[in-house]
Amino acid sequence: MDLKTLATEAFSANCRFAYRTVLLLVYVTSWFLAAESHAAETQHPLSPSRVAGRVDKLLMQAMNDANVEAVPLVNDATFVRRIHLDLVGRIPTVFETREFLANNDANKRQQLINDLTQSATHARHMAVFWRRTWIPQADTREFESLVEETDAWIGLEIAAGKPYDQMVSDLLTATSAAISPNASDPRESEAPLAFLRAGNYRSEKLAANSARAFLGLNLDCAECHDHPFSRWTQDEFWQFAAFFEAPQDNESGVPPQIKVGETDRLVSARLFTGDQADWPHNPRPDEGRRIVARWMASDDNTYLARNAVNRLWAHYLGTGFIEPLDDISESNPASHPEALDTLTQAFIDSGFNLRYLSRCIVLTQAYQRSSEANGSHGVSLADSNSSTRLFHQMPVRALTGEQLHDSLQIAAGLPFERDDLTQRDKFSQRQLTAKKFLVDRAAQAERSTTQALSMMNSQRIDALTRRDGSPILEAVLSAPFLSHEDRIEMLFLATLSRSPSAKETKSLFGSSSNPSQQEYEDALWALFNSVEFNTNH
Amino acid sequence: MYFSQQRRNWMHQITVGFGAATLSSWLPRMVSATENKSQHKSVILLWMSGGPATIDMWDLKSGHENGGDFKAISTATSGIHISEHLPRLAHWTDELAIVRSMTSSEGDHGRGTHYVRTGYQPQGAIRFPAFGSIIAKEMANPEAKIPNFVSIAPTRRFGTLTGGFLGPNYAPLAIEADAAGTLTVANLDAPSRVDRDRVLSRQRKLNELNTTFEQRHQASSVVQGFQAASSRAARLMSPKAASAFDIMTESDTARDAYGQTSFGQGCLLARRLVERGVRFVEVSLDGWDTHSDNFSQVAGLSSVLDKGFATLMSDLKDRGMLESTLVVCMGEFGRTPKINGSSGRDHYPAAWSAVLAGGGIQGGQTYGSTTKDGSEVLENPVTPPDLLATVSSLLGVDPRKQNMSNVGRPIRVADPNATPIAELL
Repeated sequence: MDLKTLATEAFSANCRFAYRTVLLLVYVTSWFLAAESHAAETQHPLSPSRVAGRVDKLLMQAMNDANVEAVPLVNDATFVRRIHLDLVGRIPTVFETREFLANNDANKRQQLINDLTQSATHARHMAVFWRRTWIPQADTREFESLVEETDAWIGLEIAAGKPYDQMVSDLLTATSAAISPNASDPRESEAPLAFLRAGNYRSEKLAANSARAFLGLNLDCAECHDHPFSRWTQDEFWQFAAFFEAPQDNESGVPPQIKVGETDRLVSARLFTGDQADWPHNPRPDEGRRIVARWMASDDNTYLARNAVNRLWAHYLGTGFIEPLDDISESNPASHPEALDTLTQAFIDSGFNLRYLSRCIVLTQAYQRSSEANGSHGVSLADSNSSTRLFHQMPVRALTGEQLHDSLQIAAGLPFERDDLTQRDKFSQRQLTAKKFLVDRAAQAERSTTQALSMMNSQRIDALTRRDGSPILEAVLSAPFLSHEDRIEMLFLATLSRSPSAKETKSLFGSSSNPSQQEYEDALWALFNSVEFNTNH
Repeated sequence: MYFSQQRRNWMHQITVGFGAATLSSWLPRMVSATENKSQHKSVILLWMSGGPATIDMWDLKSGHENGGDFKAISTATSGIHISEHLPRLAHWTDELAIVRSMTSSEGDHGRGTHYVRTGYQPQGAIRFPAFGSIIAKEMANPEAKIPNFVSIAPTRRFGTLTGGFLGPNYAPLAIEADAAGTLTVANLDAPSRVDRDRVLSRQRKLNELNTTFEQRHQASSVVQGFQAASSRAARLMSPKAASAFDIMTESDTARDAYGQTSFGQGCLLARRLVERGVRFVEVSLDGWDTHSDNFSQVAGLSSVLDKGFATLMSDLKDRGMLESTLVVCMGEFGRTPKINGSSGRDHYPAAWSAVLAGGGIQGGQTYGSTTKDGSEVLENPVTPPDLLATVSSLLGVDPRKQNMSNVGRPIRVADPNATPIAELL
């Protein structure tokens, strides 16, 4: 293999996409116009950078009031790594990092954000996030078989630019009648049924799950008793659950009823906002779910948008405006109500456009702040107490299992694993890593001894840190024109997307001017195991 | 670690707020029973994976058509009879409490395993921690070099044990049995091409990189947690810590006594780990799913269990560890009293047995009973949550203590409806 081939192997790995990703690309190209025309029908939302500016202004006011100073924005090297991990779920390649650092365009961050949010990989990455939000049951053993198909479906819908409210509606009103059994396009498959399946088609489960996932309301406690903080009564919960029952009498046009828990008391479907639901004569069996879906997406109901904004903000910034994320209620106010309102309104005005919302958030200065404390910022950034949640500093977040897997591949100069070829093969390396390194809230994550041992000694890490299993090492070691410094720099760019400090070079290589192959291997091993590689910061 | 402190305070408030309303009658008794017994106890769970035919082990139905081939033999305790294939354990019945009235509603391996090992039936999105993880958290020994929850020769067919909503810090350290039955901690050893000097040099380099990064991110609990995990892993790899897992240092006599099986050697390893302060060790014995040819299989498995369990009892006793080490032997359910056409027994959660020993338990007794045909619990039914509440009470862990789950709902150590078995305490 000649040098040029090796360099190509090592540095353009991101150009290779798995079969499904190629499919995604095709879908993106063909449906992109349709998606944009949908956005154009809506009421001309503000540009993402203007929304971001307004949010920053509100956050800045709160910081001033609290007499806390914001930490500076990150440099380009930190930014390019962070934005890749957040938008496409992997670190940038050496090539991508260098290209970005060399770019002198003042607008280059915004340009990169635009490019990445358009990519098929972004849709693939965000699909995992929304699946975990909507159908967290899929991370349990009982429902793990839902993962593959659901991720593929959400990914395709995001790539196609389907509005968020319509995706939620699809999940709520899915019927097996719409399924073509051998569909190659997941949008025609059973995938949208995943939400109903994960609730075992039981009204009370579906009510609690949809309130939590789509509205950010925690109704679980009210299933058995009035909510301890008097947010929801038991009756309100069961009145909502009644929507998920099939109407009993086809002629009457009256709402369906359900028994309250273990009692014999019946309550009728009623919305806890007091909004009126119109029950048609001859209702369909899923009429209640259709009403709920329409109600969620209606203009005067902002719960749906607010919950999506709060969760996506927490995804990018580590903490939500409202914490816990599934406890949106009047007695649990947002840390920055106006900033949340601004984003919520922009999201609604955009026609529930997820790519647009992501841009609004990552274009904020809040998102682009450093994670390094410089001593003068006394308030802990990981504090979830709303009075001190200021977003003046970025928290360090753990990589999810998916991010870790893909980033190891990229750093070693390998292509994304082609695990998408065999959809039913749930034991692919990527999924095993995803499961083994499952992260709930990235800004509060922990790591076990077993996980650490796996990063140190597993066969996979051993292979990636040997010259014959690691294209990056082969490239670095075999290129005759590279100096020792160039080689070290390459290893750092490949793993940490930045240049090494003199101190780090000394830590890894001592004062050796001509390190051995073994020393390069050990340096790569240390870089893979470093906290810096395993986190987004 | 500011955040963790915050979270603990918050959880404490929740615990107080919810707990006060549900004091029940067994509480005073439990508190007095556990007050003097709570210091530094450990649990060894002998996990009979697949659903053991306890009707052929602990609760024989001799004389009834459901009784099968095995004879009941008398034991050290008058009035208690167990299977002829557990002759060594028959000498230890004065230390055993045999619960003959276990009952559950889960007859599927996955769901049953989840129920017995977490104390909860699967519920939607809640990621329940293994009971061992809960104990590891509640009784954490922060100085320990070895994780507080170790799982030996785990069976993964029926679900992997995790720390669930308690997080990876409380996930079990798995010790796998290789094809030859040798027990090893996964990934504990560096690849063979990397010698010890090189391992140390790598660790030193990693540590320097991490120290620099940590200095720039001092307020981050994530950074501290990840750094700490690397250090824990490195400590575990040190020859001294790793020697805890090296059962080859035990005498041949001791190893033979436990039985040269991965289960027998696992029992020996469990004793070594408890000696070193590990709070919860489980040792799996797989193969109990005897849908056909039940009797020859159960005879063989019983012999493996008998050797390992009885030797563990005598070893713990000799070392003065039996009072502080609770041994629990059970599986996910029992098997049908009626013998099927293939001389097998099928899944049967309605009536089965579990055995407890040591750890301050009142031995020399059976608790509860089943009908003559073994099909129903006759008196004192015990659910898996009841049993786990009993274990946690013995350890001095309040079964009503709440931890915040991944769905924002507080979950108790044991199900709120669970009642510890006072007669065993």
